Amino acid sequence: MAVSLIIDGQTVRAAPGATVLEAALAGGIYIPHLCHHPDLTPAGACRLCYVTVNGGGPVLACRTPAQEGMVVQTGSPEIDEIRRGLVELLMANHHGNCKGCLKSGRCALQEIIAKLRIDRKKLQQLRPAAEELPRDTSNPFFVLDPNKCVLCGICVRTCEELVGVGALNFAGRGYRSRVGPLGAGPLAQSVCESCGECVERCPVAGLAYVDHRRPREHVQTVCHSCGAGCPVTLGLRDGRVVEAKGELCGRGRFGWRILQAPDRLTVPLIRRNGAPAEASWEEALDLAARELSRYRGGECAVLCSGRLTNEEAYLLQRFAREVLGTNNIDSTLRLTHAVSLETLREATGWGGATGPFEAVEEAACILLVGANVARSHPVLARRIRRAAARGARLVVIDPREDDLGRFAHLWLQPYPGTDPALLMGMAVALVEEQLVDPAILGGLGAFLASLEDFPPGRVSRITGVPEELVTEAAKCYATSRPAVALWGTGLTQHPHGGDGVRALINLALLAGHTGLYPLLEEANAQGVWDLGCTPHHLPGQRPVPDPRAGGKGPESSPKGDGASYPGLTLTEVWDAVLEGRVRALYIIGVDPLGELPEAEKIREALGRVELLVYQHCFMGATGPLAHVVLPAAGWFEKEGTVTRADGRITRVRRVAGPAGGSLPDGDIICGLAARMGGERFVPEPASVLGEIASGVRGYGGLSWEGLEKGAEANVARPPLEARAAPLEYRGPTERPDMQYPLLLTGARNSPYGDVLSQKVEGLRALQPEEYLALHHKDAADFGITDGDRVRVLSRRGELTVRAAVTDVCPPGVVILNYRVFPDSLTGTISRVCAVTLERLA
Amino acid sequence: MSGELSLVREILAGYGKSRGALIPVLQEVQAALGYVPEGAMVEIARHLGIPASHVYSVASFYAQFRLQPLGRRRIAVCRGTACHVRGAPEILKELEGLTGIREGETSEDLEYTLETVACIGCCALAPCVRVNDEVYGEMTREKVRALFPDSEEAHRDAG
Repeated sequence: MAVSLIIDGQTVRAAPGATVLEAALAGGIYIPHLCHHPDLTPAGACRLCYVTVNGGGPVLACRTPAQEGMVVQTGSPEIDEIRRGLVELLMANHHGNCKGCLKSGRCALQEIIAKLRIDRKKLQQLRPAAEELPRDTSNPFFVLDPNKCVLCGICVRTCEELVGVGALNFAGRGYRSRVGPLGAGPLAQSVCESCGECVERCPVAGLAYVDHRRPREHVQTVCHSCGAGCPVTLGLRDGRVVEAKGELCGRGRFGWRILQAPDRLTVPLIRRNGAPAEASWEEALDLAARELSRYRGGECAVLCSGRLTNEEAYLLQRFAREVLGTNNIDSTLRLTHAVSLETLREATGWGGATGPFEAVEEAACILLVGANVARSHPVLARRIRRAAARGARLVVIDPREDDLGRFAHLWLQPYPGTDPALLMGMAVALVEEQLVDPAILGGLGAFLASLEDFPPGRVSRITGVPEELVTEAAKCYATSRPAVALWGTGLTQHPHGGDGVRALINLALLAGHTGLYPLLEEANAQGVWDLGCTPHHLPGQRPVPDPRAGGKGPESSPKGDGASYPGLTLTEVWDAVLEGRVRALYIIGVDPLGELPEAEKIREALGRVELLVYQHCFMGATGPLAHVVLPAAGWFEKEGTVTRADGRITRVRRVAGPAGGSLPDGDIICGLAARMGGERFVPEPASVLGEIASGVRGYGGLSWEGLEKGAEANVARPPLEARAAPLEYRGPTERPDMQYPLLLTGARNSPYGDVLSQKVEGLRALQPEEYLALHHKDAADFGITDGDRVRVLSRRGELTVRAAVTDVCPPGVVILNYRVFPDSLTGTISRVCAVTLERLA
Repeated sequence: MSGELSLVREILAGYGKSRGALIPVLQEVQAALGYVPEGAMVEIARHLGIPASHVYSVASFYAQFRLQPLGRRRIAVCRGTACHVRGAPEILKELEGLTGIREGETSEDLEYTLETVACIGCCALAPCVRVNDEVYGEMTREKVRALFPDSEEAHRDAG
């Protein structure tokens, strides 16, 4: 219940649980303070917020709960003297003058000095010449300056309480106290994730952005960097983005710089005499349309990224189906989570998460399978850490050491590719421990029979996870309510990835849990999928009818009716090009040669294809091979809506640009469609959304005006009606043998290996070196010591990397901590292969 | 895996996942290794489920924890009042020159650790220096050099 109290003679209403300091600040009464931050627990470190309560001695306002009827005085001769003394001591240790300081004008210490009318000149005369300490400039975006630090601990608490990383802490003691990471090393080489949350909160210039310009206006939009879709407020000055505010990770905080990358495509290019030459939009679109018109139906294929807006995705699939006449349209989701969404659709009626991400933080148990969330969805990882710190049980299933490891209640390390067996083993444990509601079990005869394929002993042998641990994990998940399950590409990027997803859904159904979250990585992967950029589904996830009984796999007809049966996937397209079935490619927002696995095959296909129209913000590796290059606007340069990986639909707004002569993808698609006889191709997002809202399942009833005003909208998924389905165990296709005795899997070694970060200089610089983690027993077998260079040989290729000897990966498994996964080893999209090692002299 | 880390793991095996174990663990690690290396702090943090920076914070706060390994010859220069007035600063300067390290440091070859102490308790012999457990009194720059003949040569060669 709210309380009212009297502060300096003024009656103030305080929120329940508020401190005296919070009550005063909320009531517009200033009490000097440095270490208070509304997001953090009070520390009482700076001692500046002394007040008297009911005429008693001085107490700290930030540590005193506001109570009904309190009479608070924020100043008295005694308090003023204490405060003045403390500030003078702080200033005596505070180096340099304010002129040229990165925080001048936004500094809490400056404010306090002014409010207390402290004479700096007088103080500086008394000040001893203190030793200037070196600044930590290792981070490309911000500087840690011990000479400006006031040791308030806001950064320390931010990193521990909010971010859950704990990169910073106090080191040393007394006069030598300072804030820093573990040991003497620089911040950039610590566990710091460069999210900038500490910099956002530092009251002085202890942590400050190196090139910050104060924005003049702000625009609210949604972040581009992953499927978590964090709200972000971009600050602008002179039409350029200068800052990003909100709860963000490093990619979100600094990734907008991609808009200002010097190598943005700004002019259309067409190939003349074998070399790309600048052209006008008219020329380029005319040429692309004319050339595309020569092919029909299955001879064309369209590939896109998960970073189109919903409206653009809808237009693009219409273009493919109505104008080109083909279902050969697919997105990069194929390589990560298409199998998740397809399996979810089959099992639950809709391919998508079953609840909002907000529910993850409220869960009592979080089951995390094959997901390196801290690297793929850093802000979501924070929610998980905060949940765990609050007491939620985190169960991690991953052969790789996870950044969330220290929060894990249980950590199961199955051999790569054996997750389906492990998850079915957990289902067996649930049945055996009688933790399944009999009402759920009824009618599951076939499923229960299939469980007999997974006796505990066998599961343990297949996965390498002890039986007791399987049972404990299953019990923990089943007995905690609510519980959620999240999974990443560690579960899906296997030949039988769908089995893993199916087994996880089974487990959730048996336990009576509904929280299922595939962690889609590209910002609008879900929307692009829902709106039909897939060869098997029309908008609204309606299956493409397949008239060929028995559905014999993808085919292509020379002309015409390519849209009457399912098309080719992104991974199938390359073979189809090489076999001459697909002759024209329209590629949007993805650089296949630069980003996708199987680069050799793609190179050959791109060299062979008769027509390549490439639409992107950057030339990339594919651009130089294209016949027409169309410069596209970036994420923050266009209007539209996007669907977060949990089904929340939000507005993405044009904040700046488009850069140079680039155009939003929707405009380009409509430009082509208009030239090729497409009807009703109107690029205006509001009108496209209207069309979507009136006809696409799950997206009905959306209104542009409503979203504009910030109304909450979610994909309307059908009610969850699902039954556990039988599963037969199919082992990994890649097995170790005498010649290749180790199983290699990959783990991204930082959040900055993604395509966006590669284009931002500072984020690229934050990527650590690649290394191969191996168990010390394997290291001994191969005569490898920590730090050696080793050659890794698979059945298909090889690479050289530094070895890190550890005991955090299971014996027999080596983990390549990569920046960008090299496909030389696996030669396929799979991230698992058998290898052997050679130590290099 | 290095021997140091396996020692740390053995020590940790005796403790549960509790913050409260931090100081006893640090003490045991130091007793076993002579100091607390960074790698050990990472390992301790992992075991106790706390950030490594927190372990460093505690280890660097208490004077009892050494974050650098000790040299084979641990030189302590007395800076008590008596030693000070009879030339301890000169002695310290000489030793810094001889060993190539500054007060509080350990040489890279782990031969020397140079420290100062407030009083060794033999003011009558001021200024005095202790090397490991041996105390040398009435020191002069010449006597200091004589104590470390090898280092003097090595230092001159290098210089």
